[in-house]
Amino acid sequence: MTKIRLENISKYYGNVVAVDDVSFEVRKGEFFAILGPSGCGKTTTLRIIAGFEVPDIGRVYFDDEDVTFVKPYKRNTAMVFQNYALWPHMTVYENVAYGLKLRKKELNLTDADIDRMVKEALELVRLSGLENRYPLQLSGGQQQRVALARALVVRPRALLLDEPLSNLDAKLRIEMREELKKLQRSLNLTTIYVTHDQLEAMSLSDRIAVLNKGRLMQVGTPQELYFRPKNLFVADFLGRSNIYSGEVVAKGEGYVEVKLEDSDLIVRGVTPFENIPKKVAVIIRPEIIRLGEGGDDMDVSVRGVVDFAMFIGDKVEARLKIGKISMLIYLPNTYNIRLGDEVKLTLPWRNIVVIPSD
Amino acid sequence: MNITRLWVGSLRREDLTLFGTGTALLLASLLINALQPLEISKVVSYALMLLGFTVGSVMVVKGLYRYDYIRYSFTLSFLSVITLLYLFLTLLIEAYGVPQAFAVFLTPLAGASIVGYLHGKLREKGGMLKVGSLRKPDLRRRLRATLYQLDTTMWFFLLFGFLYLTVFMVLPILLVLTYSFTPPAGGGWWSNFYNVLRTVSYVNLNPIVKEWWSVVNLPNGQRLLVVRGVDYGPIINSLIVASVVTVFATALGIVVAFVLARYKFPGHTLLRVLALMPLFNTPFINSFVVKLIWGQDGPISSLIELIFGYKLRLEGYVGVILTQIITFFPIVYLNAYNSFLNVDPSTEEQAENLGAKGFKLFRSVTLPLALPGIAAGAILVFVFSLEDLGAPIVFNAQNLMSYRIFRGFQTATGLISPEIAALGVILLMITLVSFLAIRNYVSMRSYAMISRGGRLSPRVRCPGPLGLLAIYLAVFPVILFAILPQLGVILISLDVLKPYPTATGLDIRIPENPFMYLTKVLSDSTIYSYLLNTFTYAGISVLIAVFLATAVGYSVSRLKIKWLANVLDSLATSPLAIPGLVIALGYYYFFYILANALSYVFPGIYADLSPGPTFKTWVVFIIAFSVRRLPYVVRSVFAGFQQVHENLEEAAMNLGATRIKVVFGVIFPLIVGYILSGALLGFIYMATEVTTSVTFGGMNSAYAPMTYYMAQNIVGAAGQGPMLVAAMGTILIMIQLVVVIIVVYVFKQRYAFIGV
Repeated sequence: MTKIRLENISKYYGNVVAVDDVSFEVRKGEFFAILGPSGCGKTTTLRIIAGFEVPDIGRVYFDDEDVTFVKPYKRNTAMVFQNYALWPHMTVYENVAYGLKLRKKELNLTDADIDRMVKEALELVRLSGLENRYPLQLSGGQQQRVALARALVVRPRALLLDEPLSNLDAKLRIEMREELKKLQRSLNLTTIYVTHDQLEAMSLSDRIAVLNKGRLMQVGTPQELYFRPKNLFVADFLGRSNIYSGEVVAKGEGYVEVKLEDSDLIVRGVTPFENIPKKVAVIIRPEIIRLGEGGDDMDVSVRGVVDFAMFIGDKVEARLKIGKISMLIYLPNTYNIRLGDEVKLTLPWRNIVVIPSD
Repeated sequence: MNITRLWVGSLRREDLTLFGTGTALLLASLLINALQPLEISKVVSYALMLLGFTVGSVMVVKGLYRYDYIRYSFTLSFLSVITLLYLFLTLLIEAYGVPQAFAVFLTPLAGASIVGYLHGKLREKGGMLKVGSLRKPDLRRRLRATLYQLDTTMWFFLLFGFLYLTVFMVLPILLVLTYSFTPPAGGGWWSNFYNVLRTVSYVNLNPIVKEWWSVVNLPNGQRLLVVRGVDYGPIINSLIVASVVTVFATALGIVVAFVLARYKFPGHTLLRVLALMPLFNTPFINSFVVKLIWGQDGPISSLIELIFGYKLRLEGYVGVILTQIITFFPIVYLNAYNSFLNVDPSTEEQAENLGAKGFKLFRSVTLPLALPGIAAGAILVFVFSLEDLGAPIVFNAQNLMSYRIFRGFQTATGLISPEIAALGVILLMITLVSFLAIRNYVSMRSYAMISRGGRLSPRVRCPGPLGLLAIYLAVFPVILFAILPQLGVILISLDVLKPYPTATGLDIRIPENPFMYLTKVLSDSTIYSYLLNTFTYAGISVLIAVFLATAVGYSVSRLKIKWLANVLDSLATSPLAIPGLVIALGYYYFFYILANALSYVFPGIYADLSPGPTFKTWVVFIIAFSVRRLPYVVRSVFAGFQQVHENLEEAAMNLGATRIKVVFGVIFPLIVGYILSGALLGFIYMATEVTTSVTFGGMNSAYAPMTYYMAQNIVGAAGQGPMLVAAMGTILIMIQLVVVIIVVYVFKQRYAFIGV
C-alpha cells in the first residue's frame, strides 16, 4: 500500500501542454479515478506515475520518496493497458510469470513459488485452466483478466489501470466493473483508474479527479462532484444538467437567489463558494425536479409547456418551455404525455447549485 | 472588393491549373520566338528572373497562388518542386534559348512557392506560440527530462548508429566535397565547378550532331536506322536519361499495377509473377541482352525490316533509356500496387455513390490517394537511373555523369582528379535535393493509410471485352518484353542462345551440354573465387547491417526526442539518395587519408589501406555494402518495431524488465520474421552491388567481387566471356528467387520497395 502524491505536474509536447499544473494525492488503499474527455491529459498523467514519461515541471512522490526520475522498471507499479498489451508469443502462464521471473533473485523465489503464485493469481481472476492458451485464443474479457493477473501477481505498490474496460462490450463491462471493485477491496491496493466514462468512475471510485485540457478541474468523492460541482465543466461532464446563466439578486442564510437570464424566473439554490460574484451559473439536475407543487417554502414552483418528449424505457425525458428558457426533466415512464401539455414543477432549493460563471 | 478579386475568388482549382498551363504555353512560345535570336545578355536574363520573382511574390500576397495549394493540390506541389530544381540547374549551367525562356516563365511560380512556404511556416510558428502556456520549465529540467529516456541501451544504440554512419558515410562525402574545392594550378576555389558546369566537355547545349537518329547504308544494300540520342554533355544527358526513364517507368508501373490491383482476368497470377521478374538484378548481362535483342541483327530489327524496310539498331543513350525503363519499372509497379491496395475501398465507393466513375474516379480519388507511394517509387527510379553504371558501360554511353566518374577511377594517376569530385558533388546535389523534396512531399501527404477500420479487401472487378483486349494486347506484351533480358540471361547461360548473332538473326540452338558454363563458374577456382568473395563480403556486411538497423530502427521508433530520431532516420535512409559512385569517391579519399594518417603509427599499413594495387579492398566492400544497402534492412526491421505496440514494451518495463531485456527478450522474438526478411533482402542487394565493386575491384582483383568480373567480361564480349557472365547472372536470379519466395511465403512480408 502506497500513498501517491503529484505536485504541480506539467508536461509539454513541443508547444502543446498535455498536463498543466496538476496536483493531487492518492491515499493508501484508495480507488482513485482520473476522469476526463479524450485528450485531457489523463493517460499522460498515469504514464507519468508509471514512469513512462517525465514531467517537465513538478514532482511525483510514492509515500514520501521522490520518484520523479526513477525508471519505470524500478517503481514497482503494475499497469493494465487499454489494449491489455499481452505478449502474443507467450502463453497465459508465461505472460503472468514474466514479472515474477524478473524478481526471482530479488524476492528469493523458487520455481515452485512462482508456479504457486501464478496459479493463485489466475484463480483470483477466475482463469484457472487456461494457462497454456495464447492470448489470441482468448476472448476480450479473458485477455483483460490475464492482464490484470499479470499486474497483480507481482504485488505492486500501486495498480494503474488505463481505461481497462473500454474495449469490452457493454454487458461485460458492467460485470467486470463489479468484479474489479470487489478485487480491489479484498486486496486493499492503491489503485489509479483512468477513464472517460463518468459512470465507471463514479461507480468504482472512492475519489475522482476530473481533468480538462490538461488542467485539474476538481477532486472529490463521487457525491461531492455530482452534487457540489465547483465549475461548469464538472457539472456538465458528470450526469446531465440544466445550466442557466443568471445574476445574483439576493443572498440569504445558506442560499442565494438568482434571476435567470432571458427570463423572469427567480430560483433559489446553494453555493459552495463563500464570495459568489454577481454573474453566476445555475445548475439544475433533471432528476431533482419534482412534479407538482408544494414542498419546502423556499422551493420555487414553475409551470412549463411540453415542447419535446422521448420515451427511453425506464423514464420519459421531456423538454419544457418556461418562458424563453428550456428545461430538461424526467417523468415516470407511465406518465402519459402530449406535446403542449402544461406541467407544474417544483425546484428544490437544496439541490440546486449556484457557481460563478466562467 | 474590386472586380479582379471577385473573379479570382470564383475561380476553381481546375480553372487555375488550366489557366496556368495556357499562360505558360503562350508566354513560353513568345519568349522563345522573341528572345532566342537576340541571345539575350546575362543582365537581361537575371533582370527577367528577378521580375518573375517579384511577380511571384505579388501573386502570393494577392492570394492568387496560395501556400495551401502547394501543400494540398498535387499538381502544384509537384510543380513547385520540379520548378525549383529546374531553375537551380539552368542558373548553374547558364542555359540560354528555350530552356532559359521556360525558366523565366517558371520563376513566378518558384517565387510563389518559396514565399508561400515561408509564409505558411511563419504562420504555423505564430499559431503555435499562442498555445504555449505561461509556465515554462527551466532548461536544466528539460534536459533532465530528455536524458531520462536515454538508458544504457539507448545510448549504445544511438552512439553506434551515429558513429558508424558518420564515419563511413558522412565523413567520406565531406571529403568528396573538400576535394571538389581543391583548385587546379592557378585556378580559384570554384574552378572545378566552373569547369564541370560551364565547359563544353561537360555541358554542351549546342552539339554538332543534332539528330537523335541517323540512316546508314550498309554494304549489302540494306538500310539501317541507328537510334542513339543527342549528346549534350554528361550533366544534361544524365538528367534527360533519368527524367525520361522516370516518366516512362512510372507510367508503365502505374498501368500494370492498376490492372493487377483492380482487375480479375485469366492469367492474372501469371502476369503478377512475370511483372516481378525484371526486378531480379543481373548486372551488366541484362543490358547486354537488351542490346542483343534491339541490335542490328536482333528480332526487333528483323520485324521492323519486314514492315518498314529498315534495319534498326539502338545505341548509346536510347539504349540506356530502354534498358533502365525495363529494369526499373517494377519498382514503381510494386509501390503503386501496394498503394492501390491500401486505398480504402470505401473512399472510392463514396465517390461512386456521388456519381464519379471510370477515369474521373481514378483521377480524382484513386490516383491522389495512391500518389505518395507512387512518388516514392518514382524518385527511386530517378536516383537509380542517375547512378546506374551497368547500362552505360554496356552501351558505351560515356557522356553520362556516372560513367564519367567511373572513368575518373580508371584513368586516375595518383589521386582522382578534383574535377571528378566536383562532378560527384553535383550528382549528389541533384539526387539528394530531389529525394528530400519527394520525401517531404510523401510524408506530408501519406494519408492513404489514415482511413482504417473499414474492410480493406480491394475492389476487384472483371474488365469489359475492350479492357480485356487491351490487357492481352498491350499489357502482356510489354511485360513479356520486359522479362526478355532475364530470359535471355538464362538462355545464354544454358548455351541455348549464343551471345553473338549471325547475319540472319539470333543464333539459337539446342545445346550439347547446357550446364557447361554454370559448372565452369562454380568449379573454375579463379572464377569461383569472385563468387566466394561476393558472398563472404555480403554475409559479413549483412550482419553489420542488421545490427546497425536494429540500433537505428529501435531508436527511431521509440525515441521521443523527435529531432534526434529524425536526424538518425534521415541518415539511415540517405544511402538510397546517395549515388554509389559518390560513396565510392568518398571511400577513395577516405582511405587515402586514413592510410596516410595510420602509416605514422603502423608503417606497414599504408600498402594495405591506400587505394592502389596492394589495397586490401575487402575492407571497402564490406563497409560499402553495409552502408549502401542499409536502408533496405532498416526499412524491414523498422517496420517490425513499428508493428509492435509500444505498450507491449512498457508492460514489460513496468514489471521490472530493463530495456535490453525488453528489446532482446520480448520484442525480438516477435519480429524475427521482419529481421530475417531484411537480412535476406539486404544480402541479395549486396551481392548485386555494382558501383563500389567495379571501381575498387580493379585495384586488386584478388579481392574483387563477382560484379567486377561481370563488368570485365561483358565489355570486351569475346569468347566465353558473356556465357560465363550469364551463368553468374543465372545464379544470381536463382538466389533472388529463393529469397523472394522465403520472404513472401515463409515470413509473409510484402516484397516492396517503398524506401522513401
